[in-house]
Amino acid sequence: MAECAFLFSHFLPENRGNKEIPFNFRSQYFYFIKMELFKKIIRFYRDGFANMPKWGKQVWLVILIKLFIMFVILKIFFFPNFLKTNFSNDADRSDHVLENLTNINK
Amino acid sequence: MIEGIDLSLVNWSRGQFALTAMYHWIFVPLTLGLAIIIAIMETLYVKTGNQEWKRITKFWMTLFGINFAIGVATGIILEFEFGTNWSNYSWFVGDIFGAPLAIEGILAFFMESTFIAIMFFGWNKVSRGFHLTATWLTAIGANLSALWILVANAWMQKPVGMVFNPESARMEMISFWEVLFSPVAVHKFLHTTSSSFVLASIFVIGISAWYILKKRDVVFARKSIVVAAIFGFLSSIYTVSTGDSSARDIANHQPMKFAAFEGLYNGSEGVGLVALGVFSSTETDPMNENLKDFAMKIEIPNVLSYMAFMDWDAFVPGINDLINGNKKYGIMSAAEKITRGQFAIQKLTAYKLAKKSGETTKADSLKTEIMSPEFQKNYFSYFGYGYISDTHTLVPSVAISFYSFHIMVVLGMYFILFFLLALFYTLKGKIHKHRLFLHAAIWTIPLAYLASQCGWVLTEVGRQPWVIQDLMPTMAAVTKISTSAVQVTFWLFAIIFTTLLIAEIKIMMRQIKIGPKSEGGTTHV
Repeated sequence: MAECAFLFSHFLPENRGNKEIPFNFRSQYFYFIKMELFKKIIRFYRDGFANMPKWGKQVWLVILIKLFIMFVILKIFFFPNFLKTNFSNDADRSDHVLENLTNINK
Repeated sequence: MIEGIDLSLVNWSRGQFALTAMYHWIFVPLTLGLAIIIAIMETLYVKTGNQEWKRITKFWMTLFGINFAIGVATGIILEFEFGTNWSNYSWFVGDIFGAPLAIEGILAFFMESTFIAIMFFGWNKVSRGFHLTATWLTAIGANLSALWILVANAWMQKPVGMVFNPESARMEMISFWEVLFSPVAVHKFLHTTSSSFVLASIFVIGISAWYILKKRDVVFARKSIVVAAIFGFLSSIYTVSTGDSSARDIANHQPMKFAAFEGLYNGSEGVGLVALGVFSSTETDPMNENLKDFAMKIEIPNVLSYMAFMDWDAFVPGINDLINGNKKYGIMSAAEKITRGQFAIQKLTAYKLAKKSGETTKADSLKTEIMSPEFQKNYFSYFGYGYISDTHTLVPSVAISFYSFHIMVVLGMYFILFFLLALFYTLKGKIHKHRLFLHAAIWTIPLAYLASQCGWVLTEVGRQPWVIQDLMPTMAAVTKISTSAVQVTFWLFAIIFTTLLIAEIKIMMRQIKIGPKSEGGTTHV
């Protein structure tokens, strides 16, 4: 309803002749359609998650725990990117790799 | 040169990567194959309007959802490892690896994730046709995800479409299409996905067999078996065909791997294929314990020559030909390749020193020389050999390569027979009487996983010592970090992935026990 009111606000008597409200029916129509679609998508996901069975909740719990372990614990504490952490720019990184490639004993 | 690297660090890094990749591959093939099977089942529902097909689709969709959810993001660990444990490799491959992986993340993964939501949440909210489209797009998206990582892997087996730039110390892509449509990549993608379809079909038949043995949901089980048996049979025939093409790729581009997985030490014309064989404990070469004699073998005459070069009498080089060279057949010796590789490294070293000392003109001239097509073809393509001092290290583990290849092939042949029997018994309406077959169907599920894992073991162990064929040995790819750090993360992964696997099996087993009759557990994820 709010979208309808917004869409047709140009036709309200108090807004007639008000130049600050640009009358662009087409862009407002598409805005309205987009908002409706967006709301539908939100509702779609909300209802989907709300009606999820027990096994669905269990696998989502597993996913969340897994992602936490991977991105918060493993990535930060155990898997720093060696070249990004130890060298500030690509030139230094390529020099380091070139050094390794040409003198692997060091 | 290469002896300077800590072997235990290399082995632990390899072990860690193998562990994570193998665990990741437990989840992936079922996702790829089951997605297509579900799409076929839903197509039957939409075409016939039969509610039984909807119930069947929903049940297998539940198991797909569990497997997908538990397996999702397990591959990201491999990317973490590239950055930490394999930094030389990661930098060296540059965009060649980065581009396909980025495409995988952006295109296929998001496509897959979006349509999965419609698959699970959209049963009563979107039209049948739209839902079916989403299911098919999920299946296509999942397989497209696999395409990009397989393209990257294929490049490591046969590097194409690139030039090495000494300034950036990176491989730079000169032809995206050459990388994407390399025959090795195309065959690898087709073989990997079709073998995943086989695995998923066996999974469906195995679970359905359990229902028939329990005398539960027999109609559901029979219908599932018919779809899976037809799909599995066609996929297994196609897997044989794509496997044949992949074998030819290996014979042409990785002849050492080819010789190793057939236990072929000395090449000849019209070589037979070892259909079955067992190694003895004695070595053919006392200097190399990797090369064991056969205790017994059953050989099919001339087939290996045909498999490798489509000519019954073609010469197939053995391990010794590839090490010592064979002038008659134009095979370069390993010693010559090592000389060329060392020359390439010397040029690169000269470039590095010129750059360091500020001799810009000399550095530019060396850069131009290194990047020239002649140098790349005649010297840089043997770059990795420059790190090798003992030619025996050029031979991968013959026993592991041989057994993994033969287990995969023998099981592949068994699967064809298995699908035919499943289809025959089901269409005859007598499958419930064949209890032995039904029990065998359940036990075929782990065999399908075994065959799938063996394929990857052959691919990855068989190409050793290379991480990138002929260009970079595994030892040169590894980051010099502490071995204990790799050991800690190895065990961490072992615990995490085992826990995930147990969680998947438990949740899945519970849903299988509940069965397709339950309405509560089959609609949403």
